[in-house]
Amino acid sequence: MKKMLTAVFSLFVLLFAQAQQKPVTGVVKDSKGEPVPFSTILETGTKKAVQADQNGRFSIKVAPGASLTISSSGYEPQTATAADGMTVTLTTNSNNLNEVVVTAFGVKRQPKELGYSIAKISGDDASKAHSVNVQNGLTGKISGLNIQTVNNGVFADTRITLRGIRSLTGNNQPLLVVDGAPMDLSYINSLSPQDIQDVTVLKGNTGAALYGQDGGNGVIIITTKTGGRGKALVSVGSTIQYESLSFLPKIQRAFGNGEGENPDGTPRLDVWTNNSFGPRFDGSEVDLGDPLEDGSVKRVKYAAQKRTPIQQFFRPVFTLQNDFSVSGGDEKSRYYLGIQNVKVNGMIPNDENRRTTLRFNAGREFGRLSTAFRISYINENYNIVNQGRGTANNIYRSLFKTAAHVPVDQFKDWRNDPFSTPDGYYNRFGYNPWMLIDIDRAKGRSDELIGSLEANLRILEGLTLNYRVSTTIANVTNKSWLGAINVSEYTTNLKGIQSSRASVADATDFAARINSETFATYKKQFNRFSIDALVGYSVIGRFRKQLNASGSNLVIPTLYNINNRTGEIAGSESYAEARTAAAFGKISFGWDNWAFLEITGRNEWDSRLNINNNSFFYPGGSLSLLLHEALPQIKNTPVSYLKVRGAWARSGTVNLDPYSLESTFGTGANFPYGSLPGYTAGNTINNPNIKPEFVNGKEVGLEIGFNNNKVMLEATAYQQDNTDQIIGVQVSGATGYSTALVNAAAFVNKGIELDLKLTPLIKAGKDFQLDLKANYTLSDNKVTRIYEGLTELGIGNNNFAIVGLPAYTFKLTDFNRTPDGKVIVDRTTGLPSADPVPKTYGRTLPKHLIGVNPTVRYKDFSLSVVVDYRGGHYIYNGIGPSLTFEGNGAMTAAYDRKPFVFPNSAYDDGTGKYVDNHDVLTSGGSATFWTSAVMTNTQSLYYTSAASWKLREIALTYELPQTLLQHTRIIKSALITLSARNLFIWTPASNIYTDPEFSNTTGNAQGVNTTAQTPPTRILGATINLTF
Amino acid sequence: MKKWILYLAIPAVLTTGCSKSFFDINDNPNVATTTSITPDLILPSAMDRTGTLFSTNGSLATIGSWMGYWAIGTNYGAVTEHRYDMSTDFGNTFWTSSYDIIFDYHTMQQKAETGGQDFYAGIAHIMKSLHYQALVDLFNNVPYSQAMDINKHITPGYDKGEDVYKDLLVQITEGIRLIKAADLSKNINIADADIMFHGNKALWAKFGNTLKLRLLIHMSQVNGFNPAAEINTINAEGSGYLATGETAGINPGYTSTKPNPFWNAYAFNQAGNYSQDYRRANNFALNLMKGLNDERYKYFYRPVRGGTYAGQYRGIDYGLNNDPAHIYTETSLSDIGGSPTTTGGASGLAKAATMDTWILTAAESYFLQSEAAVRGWIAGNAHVLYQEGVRESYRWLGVPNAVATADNYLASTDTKVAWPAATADQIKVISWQKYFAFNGNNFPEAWNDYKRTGVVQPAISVDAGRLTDHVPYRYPYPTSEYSYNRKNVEAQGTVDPYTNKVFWDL
Repeated sequence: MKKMLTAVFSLFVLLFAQAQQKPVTGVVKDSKGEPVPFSTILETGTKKAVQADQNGRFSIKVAPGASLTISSSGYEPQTATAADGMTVTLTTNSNNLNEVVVTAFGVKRQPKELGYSIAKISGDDASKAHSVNVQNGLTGKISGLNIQTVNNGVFADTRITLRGIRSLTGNNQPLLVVDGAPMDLSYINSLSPQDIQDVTVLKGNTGAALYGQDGGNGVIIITTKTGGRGKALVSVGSTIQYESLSFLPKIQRAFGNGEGENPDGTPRLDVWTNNSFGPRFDGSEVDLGDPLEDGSVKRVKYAAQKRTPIQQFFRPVFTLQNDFSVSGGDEKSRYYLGIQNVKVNGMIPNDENRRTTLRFNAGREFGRLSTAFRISYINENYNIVNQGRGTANNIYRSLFKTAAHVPVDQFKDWRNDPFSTPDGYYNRFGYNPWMLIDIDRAKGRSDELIGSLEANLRILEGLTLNYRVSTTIANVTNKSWLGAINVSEYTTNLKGIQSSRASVADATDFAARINSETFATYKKQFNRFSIDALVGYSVIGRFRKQLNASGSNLVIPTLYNINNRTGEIAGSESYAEARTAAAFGKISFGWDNWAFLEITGRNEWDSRLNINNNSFFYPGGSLSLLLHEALPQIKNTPVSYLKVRGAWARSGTVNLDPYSLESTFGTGANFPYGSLPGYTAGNTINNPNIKPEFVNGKEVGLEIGFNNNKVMLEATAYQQDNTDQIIGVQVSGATGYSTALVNAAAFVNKGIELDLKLTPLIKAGKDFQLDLKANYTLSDNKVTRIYEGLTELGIGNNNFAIVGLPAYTFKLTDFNRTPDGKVIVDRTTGLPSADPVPKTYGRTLPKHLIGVNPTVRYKDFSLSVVVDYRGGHYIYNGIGPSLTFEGNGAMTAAYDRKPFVFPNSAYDDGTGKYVDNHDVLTSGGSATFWTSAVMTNTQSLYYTSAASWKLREIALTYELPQTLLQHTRIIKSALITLSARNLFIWTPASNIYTDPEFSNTTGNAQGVNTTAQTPPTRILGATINLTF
Repeated sequence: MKKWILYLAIPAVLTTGCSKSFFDINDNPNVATTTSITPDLILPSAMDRTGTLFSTNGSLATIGSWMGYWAIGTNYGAVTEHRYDMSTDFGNTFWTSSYDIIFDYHTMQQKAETGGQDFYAGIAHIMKSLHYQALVDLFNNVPYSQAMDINKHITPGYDKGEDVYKDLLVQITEGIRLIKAADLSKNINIADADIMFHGNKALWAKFGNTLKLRLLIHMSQVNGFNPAAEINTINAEGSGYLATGETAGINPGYTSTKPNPFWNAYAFNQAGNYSQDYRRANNFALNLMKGLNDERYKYFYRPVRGGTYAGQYRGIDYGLNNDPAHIYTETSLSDIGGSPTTTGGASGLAKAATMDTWILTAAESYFLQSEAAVRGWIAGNAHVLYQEGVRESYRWLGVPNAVATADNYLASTDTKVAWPAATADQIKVISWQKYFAFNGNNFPEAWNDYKRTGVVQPAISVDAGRLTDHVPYRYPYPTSEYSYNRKNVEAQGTVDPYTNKVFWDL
């Protein structure tokens, strides 16, 4: 009884105290009306403090009228009088170093608390030069992030990696998370840059441990816009960009078409060939092509034209972007609607791609429950020429194959002009490119849906339960066809060109992914001690179905439908489904605002692994120490900010397609024959006991600010030990297989990242400010193990993983050489010979990346420039052998098409001794010599440094002064931007081929370009943005 | 509130409650797997691949050109082949394809053994032996006892050629035994799946015996070689050898759109156009046959399609590179012989899209028997067997009045045709007639005879850059072995295809 009385009394006391100190609630916002999360609200002069929540809301028990100090990193602190329902508006300080960032699972954190490297860039900064895709606008702006545009044309594919690679043969591209929804990185091409609020990059598995295997390669987190509270904001924008050729291979312009030699060895004029090994141009009038059946023949001037065939064929193009958005909200609701339409034309005439994106984001709060709903629909329609249908008919290559005097311009009317038809076209070995772009095409559309639903329930103060379900759905249909080509018997007999019937191929590809995540977060401050915890689980389901059908010998030549065929339909079906589930947790401790420790753990189950052993666990941890807070005396020095941090995480990745455990049998070629089936064993022996690959990532970092953080330097060193790599080991064919799937290889990946920010570098009054940001990345790796008895692994494209060398390293064929590196030539013929054993060359992935990003503001003008460098790596120019074989490459004319002394060569004097060659001439110097296997297959001849400096981006923006806009009454702001992308490139003199970023794949095996691409371009643009 | 908790709990149920079935979705829905495959599904494709390999393999076509049958008709620059250039990738595809096909038979054999399907198992024994024979003839020592067992031997060791040959004879005997003893009702679909003999046990026995005879004849020059024991086994088995009209050929049901591979490669493609092939008549064989009034040249080669030489049979000296005086296209040179139209005919090498792909001809069977008789290994009249071989070659080509035309040819007194008295000369004339009969259809055996008897010495390439003055003797090991099975291939020593020979070539 006594106890009970005590309890009741205590309760009264408590209630009394509560009554004395009424809880005051309020919200903290920034100057735009956006909530400022996690600001600290301190009762002035006391130690009583609370932290606002994610939505800027706080509740503090203080005496009425008390003075509150509200502070938040990145904002000027402010004092206000406590009043229930108060709104505090904070203004940003000039250096928004400590802006809140979004970490795994959408958890907002202050960067100072994080023990790993994270970078954030605003949507405006990313889309300054109005690139069509988001990622292009990130290039050169963030250390550790390598964005490589591997081709041109209407798709301009990119390869994105963070901190190099972690898997020798699997996926190395980071995970994309849009508004908390994880998805395949390819969806980055489906986002309108205009919809993006900001982009956060978690550079390594250390920061992305909670994302599990998907996050092992780092994460790009994109947050899209939501409306602000207040009146609806309408914005319209329009961009036009002009794209023109910027870098063409060096070609010869002195010799016309020919492919053989006269008996005396001089070049012979062959008017019907596509090789340029003819005699020197003399300005006379010559035949072009064989005579037609009626005896007529085209005559042209035998002289190089002013504009090369390449310049005549590729057209400069315009890209149009139009966007519209409306957003708004009130105390409880917010919405954003964005629409964008982009039309990209290709340099190849007739090529185009149109992308339309529609996004609708909305959210509403219901007391303790807040909900959000986001949906985006993306439609792309493309119509392009087929590339790579037989190397002779790649568009780019067909132009390499055109001699400098051939007026490509005159062959456009291939249906009517007698010299342009398949019968009349001068070239015996390749089709008229103007015809190809009309009849050899692929047309398709993709329809994509990105959607998410989110609910957060505040159960208690600090404890929130979150549920999010998200999906991506993509359906792609593609039809490609090759029209009928009809030639007369005369042509067939004379030129060997045969008629062919039309063919068509249809494909559909449906892919869907669903993610379901449930997690609880708990956040609490106990005086100097703070705790921030998260525990949850997620389920991911992925599904893909592809169906292909093709028919040849179409009956009606212009009806491209497989119903219109003779013979059987060829077709295939593929289905893939995989599920993963994970349970994960994280707990962070903070002490006195200067020490932060975080521990994470995650367990995953994956359907792609053996069902009896499909679970794996990995832990992680990080520490952040703010020394300037811990040691106040630092503040007396120029150092205004000093943080040291470290992180370690292990993560597993199932780099495996579904159904990779059991060996397979495919349908034998041409089978079934009627009712007779036939199967043949696959070439890969699959492994039922395959395990995930593991990455052990470590990083340490130092962040130091001087002079009130006007100078900030961030340095990070990382190392990733990658083990149990799933590789397909190539094996002797005598085993019955060509490849065996094993967990074997290992490599170490390490690097350094430096980010320097000078904000401002120079400031002169209110009108002028120059900021400078620069970053440097060193990215290196070394293969430590392949497999017992094996020291190298080919991954395609001449890329190899070789023990002791970086992944990947080129292996290329070379000439036979003397021990001191001279090319061995024959003593009598003067000809080099090919060494059949490929040699090891340099790395294929860049070792050094530099980005420099100055911005200048003068009154209403601002100028932003991005210059970047990548280097330390090499490229094998796959377009080189083609240029040589065709006789248009500059190299083939270097010796005037005459026999010459092979440079840096030596010969065996007959006694086994090599003597330097100064006098033995090559036996030929024209077609026979240059088209020989040794000159076209020796890859080292076309191997160059891939280093380049690029003037990547310039954007000059003028903001119309408010005084001008006031007259309009409706326009709130108006911006005019002039921009340029890829304006200049500087490469070593040896690179006479193309932009070294270009590659025939976005996969791992980089550094090889091909003629199935289009040449690089520079883009100039103008944009107008209006806000109402 | 309660409802909410329920919704949120759904994923939890999925991950814990029924986790096993939730993740049990990894059975391959796209292709057959080791679990679902059966022998009758493997055999047709494996045999089709065997036929395609022997009739169209590119490096075999090169051997055919070196042996004086074919030449290259292009007017591009220098041709590597003209120099007898055998870089290490020369035999890559032959090696890889052979082992790949052997693995299909091997897998079929394992499946058949567990299912008690002796016919399929027996076929595997014999067909594997056919492939290993070809591998030894081309590469000498090859992986054999450690091949096809990746879990134990990821880098299979090599066996000596002679040891492989010895075991092949044992394997063929076992194959014949299994087939003859097979219960047809257990060997489901054998009549359809066996696209060579449709389940005919006697033909399989004859095929096996003929293959054995080929192996024995190859070894005829080996010191101290005695075939008696093996001949006794063949005789005891009792089925004999492939006879007239019993050429072993496979046909899965070729149609004009899924044509015979030889037809597709050298006559017409699926679209009905002339195949884009650059093999033309070689003056060496063409002129010899013309000189002997051997009608068969009109069936091994095709008349020039058009232009100045339309209708003529014209060849080219092997090794001419880029000579402006010649146009090497099909409008001035003879193509590979056969039907001149896409609908096909009854004669020539490429008769029709639907023709069988040959594996082992009855003509070869007779020539093998004739030589065995000359050597006294088997009973029988060597001269008659020789004549049957020539007649069978004419018949097989579809020459009109084949026997009469062949007999007219056999009446020649030329030393390449007339049956001589001395045994040594008899073996020479057999070699010549094998050479003529194998034009376009059996390059490996023509080459093997060149290596073994040296009777036919084809004209040497006129390319001045040639690396040797004789046809090479063997294939170098493929690059893939040097990359993935280095230790074992290097244990075979340095291989020089111009001087090193296979074990029976002495």
